[in-house]
Amino acid sequence: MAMLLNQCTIFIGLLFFSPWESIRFTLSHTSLEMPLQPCILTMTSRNFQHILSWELNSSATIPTHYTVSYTVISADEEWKAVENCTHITKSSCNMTDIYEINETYYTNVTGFNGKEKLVECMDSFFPITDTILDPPEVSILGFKDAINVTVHHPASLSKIRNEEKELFSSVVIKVQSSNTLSKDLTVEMDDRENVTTIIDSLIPNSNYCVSAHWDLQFSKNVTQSPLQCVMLSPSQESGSEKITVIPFAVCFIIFPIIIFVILLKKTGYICRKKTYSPKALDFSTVIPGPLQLPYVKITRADIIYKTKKKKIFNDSDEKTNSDCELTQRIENNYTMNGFTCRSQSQDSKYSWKEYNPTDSDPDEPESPEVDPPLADTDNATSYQLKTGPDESRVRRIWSHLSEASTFSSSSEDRFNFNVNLSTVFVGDSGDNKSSEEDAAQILLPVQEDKISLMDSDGTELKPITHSICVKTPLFHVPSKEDLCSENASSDESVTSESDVDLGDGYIRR
Amino acid sequence: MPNIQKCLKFSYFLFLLFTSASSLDCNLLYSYLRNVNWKAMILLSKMNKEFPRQCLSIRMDFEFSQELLPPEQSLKDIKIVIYEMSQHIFNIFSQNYPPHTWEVENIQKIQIGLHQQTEYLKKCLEEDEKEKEELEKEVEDEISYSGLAILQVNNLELQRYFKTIGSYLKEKKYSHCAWEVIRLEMRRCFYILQKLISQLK
Repeated sequence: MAMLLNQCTIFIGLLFFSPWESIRFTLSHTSLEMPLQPCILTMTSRNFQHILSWELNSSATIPTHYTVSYTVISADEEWKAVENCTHITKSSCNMTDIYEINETYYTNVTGFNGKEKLVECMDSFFPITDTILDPPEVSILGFKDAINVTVHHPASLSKIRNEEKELFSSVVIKVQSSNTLSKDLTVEMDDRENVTTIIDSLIPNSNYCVSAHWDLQFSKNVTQSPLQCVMLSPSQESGSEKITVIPFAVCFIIFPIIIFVILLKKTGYICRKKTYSPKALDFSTVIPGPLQLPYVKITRADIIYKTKKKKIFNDSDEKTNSDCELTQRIENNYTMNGFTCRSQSQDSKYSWKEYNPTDSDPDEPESPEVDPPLADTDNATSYQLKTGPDESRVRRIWSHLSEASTFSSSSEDRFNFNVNLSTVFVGDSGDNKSSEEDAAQILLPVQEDKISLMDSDGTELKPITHSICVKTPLFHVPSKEDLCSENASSDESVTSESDVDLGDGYIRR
Repeated sequence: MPNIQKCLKFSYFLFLLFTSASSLDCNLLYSYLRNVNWKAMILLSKMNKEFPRQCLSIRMDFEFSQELLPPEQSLKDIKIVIYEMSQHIFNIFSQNYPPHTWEVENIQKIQIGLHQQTEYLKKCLEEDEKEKEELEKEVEDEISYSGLAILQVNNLELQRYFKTIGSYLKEKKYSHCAWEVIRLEMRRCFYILQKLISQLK
């Protein structure tokens, strides 16, 4: 009983003398036993500016002050109190300077009432993915069917940008339209302040909205830039200008050109008709150098060696056949042979015209001739000048021709050879005898021994100073009957009209 | 049975990735690898929103050496470090048994990304090696040897780091908490990879 009383007086005494302390004790005692009140931690992190805030679930007892502490998960460290946020009364704390960007933090907020822990809450935080970044700034410019999008770095990110470049390396631009599905395209920023890109092939006369966000973000925190919308200008506005421009362009550019061309044609600068020029002036066929003459239809053209009949020409009338005409003249010891195959020479430019002494003047032997300046022409002509058996001579001519480089052929069945005009003696049919005497003196020394020779009939003989053989397609040596290029009928007609004696290389008429 | 299906599915994915990785261009290395590690980082974050409080007690400092990432490294060394790290992380996620709470698909996605990255880098490193061999045929210089020595140190450091992680998991008997610790550690690694890849640009 005394014990009980004693205890009771002690209790009453304690209660009387120090009521606050005992209450505090009991309260603290109960609070230790009771679970701590939970609270909700909220990390508001924007552009790596971390603001930690918290609120209590129940408002039964409000802590008088709070203390914020943190720890890094990757390191086995003790809890560290945030200096700025120890014993604070407000329910928020700036953690910006505490958190490193790549670490995971565990943050603890404890609410005290006096010295007692009333509230405690914890949360983990990984800044790099949990922070919210300001979206890139977008400005757009609409064209007919394209949008010019310029992406800027926001000024709020200028500090972070230098530290975490990879976060801002690329931007996703989202293009939305009421007509079509939205499409995304990624643009590389690459440390540039702003990047301009053109989104083309859009539908004209429709509304487009563009927004952008950083490519590398935690999908939960992606913030889009505010939509920038543009109504693409109708195509007619810009198109109508073009439509009016085109006729003007036609009028002022194309028509003058046409008129100019017509004027040029009229004056003869362009598209001039080819006027007929005399054959003697037609130099186009024989061009110095290796030639590629057009195809010649003449299969062979040889000198006729016939001694059956002898006929003296006094006149220089050209003998004309249906196909070919042979002009042969013996004047002043020289025989002139002229072959002209009209039907064939019309087709081909290669003709006998260079060996047409009827039109030429004996005083000017070189004038009607075309002189190919080839080195081998002398040889070619000298062969021809030699007198000998007809067949062998012809053979030599051909063999020489086959060897000499004077003829040039693009195909096997065609060739050309050149004649040195210095060895050619040309006489005029209408010339008088006196001039022929002069002409004889012009002849080359090789031919001089033949000049004096006279025929039994008294007619002057001319050495064959010039003989031209054109033969296609083969190099076979023509027989006496084949020597002429003309066909059989023409052969006969030629022989009937002009018979040539070629004994020892001289023609007798 | 579902395990076999999963295994088949995974191997099929790997086959597809191998074939696709073999046809990649080394000049586009950065643009291709840019998002791989970032995505893995996000996937790891999604697995568990919060780090469990009770696991704080078994935290461990694996001491990732910052010497692994010297500021002035050659492009080839960076590639090798990325290659090695990717392989090690892949091994950690494949050899052991992740907790049931984690979604298997997420783990697979991470592994696929890592495998692609490894194959791609392997191909490009081989190409670099060929070029280097051609150069070294002409000029034998000592710089390459010293470079090799640094690389070996790097390799050893990396091996040590990942070996510690492996033995930690083993020691903690692949417990949920141990995996949570490793999850955050791997997230750090992916961030480092991300940084390294940005140097390839």
